[in-house]
Amino acid sequence: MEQSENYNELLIKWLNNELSESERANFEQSDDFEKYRSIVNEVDQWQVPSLNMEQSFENLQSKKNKSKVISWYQQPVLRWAAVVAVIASACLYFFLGSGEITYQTGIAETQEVILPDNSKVILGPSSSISYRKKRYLDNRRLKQKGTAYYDVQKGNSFQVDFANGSLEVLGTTFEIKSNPKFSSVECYTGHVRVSTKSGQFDLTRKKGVTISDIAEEYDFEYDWSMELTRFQSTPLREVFRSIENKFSVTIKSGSIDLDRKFTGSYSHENLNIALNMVCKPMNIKYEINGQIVTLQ
Amino acid sequence: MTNSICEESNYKRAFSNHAQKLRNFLYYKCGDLDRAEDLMQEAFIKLWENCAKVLLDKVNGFLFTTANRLFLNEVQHKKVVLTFNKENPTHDVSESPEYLLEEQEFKAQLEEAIAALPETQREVFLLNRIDKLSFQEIADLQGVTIGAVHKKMYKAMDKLKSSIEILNNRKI
Repeated sequence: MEQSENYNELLIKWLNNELSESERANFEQSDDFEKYRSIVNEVDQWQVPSLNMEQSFENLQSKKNKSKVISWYQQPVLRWAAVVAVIASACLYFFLGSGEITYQTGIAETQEVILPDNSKVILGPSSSISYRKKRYLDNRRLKQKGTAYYDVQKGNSFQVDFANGSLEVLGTTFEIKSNPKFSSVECYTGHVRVSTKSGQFDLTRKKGVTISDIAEEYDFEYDWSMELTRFQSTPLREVFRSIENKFSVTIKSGSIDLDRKFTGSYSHENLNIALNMVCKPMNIKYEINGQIVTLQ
Repeated sequence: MTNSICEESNYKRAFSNHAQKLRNFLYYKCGDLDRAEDLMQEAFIKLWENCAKVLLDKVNGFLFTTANRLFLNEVQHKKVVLTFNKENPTHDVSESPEYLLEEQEFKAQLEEAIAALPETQREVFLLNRIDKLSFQEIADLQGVTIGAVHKKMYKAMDKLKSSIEILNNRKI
């Protein structure tokens, strides 16, 4: 019943279609060959019902979100940390009083914030920044959660504290993604210094660092979705014309005063975000219907 | 961009690449398609929970090891029963009804024999023949050497051949 090692090697080769002519002739002479052949011919035709990928992934997402909430809550260490964090932030709120300014975006929102020194921050969805208004011009320091893109004016020290590190600006544009388990910083122009528990990283253009249990530096290609068109005191007429060209749409402005001046920028990532960035600060509502945008 | 499985697009791509294979692998273990899909999804959830610790090129190994562990944690209920569908086989019109019946019987008995194989031999055999994975790929996801996989394969083939011998003897 036990077959020789050599025979077994041939068997494997035969299964892989790797036999030479002579080896094959030899193998096909063997007693068991017919049996192996009928088994393999039969099984090779068999199939398992294919998986409905879309549905399975959707299913997975809903299970994933449910389980995330539950397991966070059940971990005893985290539960205490959460209690402490809630108490600490409640205390902070009372002690610091109303000097603290916070900007927070909802799930599908982005927001551009102009800081007292004219630096700009674009907040991604479900993100926030906060800083102390009174001390800001002397000591530019923010706390960040979620995702934010910064365009920092030259000046004194500019610092952002996020989930697992802090960043100090040595003049420039960069993006921080801050999550408790995993953060990253990407530098677009200029120079930033990131401090983490694994050490300090000086990043220049197109360099980033990922931070989880350890921090690792990497190179990346410029992300075109962060490309912005900027305006300084420009009539809305021109701003909207620029958006029309960029996204190939027509904007119907109705009774909106197009002479109003706009200072800010819009993202090239998609039409919705671009319109949000221009219309929201100007208190204009917009509606997108295919290639036509209507303002009110 | 970032090289982490925590990145939604990387995670989704991992799903596209590995979900079907992983689900099949689990099906070969337990013989229950729904349960296999549930276990597969649980493994992906564990991947997400540990996303910061798993490097992109280790994702496959992590998924299969985790799936294995999850499978072992559950109580094994019943005997494994596996059935398969055939792609449209080309039948010569002149073949006799007896021949076709015999073919059906052969398939059924082969399914039974495969279900009766030891678990890891069964996996190797089916992943190679049905999912068309190379022996090296199987070695990687089982976390063993390619030599070990070869051994399981020819042992599986040997056992199956013997089952048919018995069948053949019965016909006599």
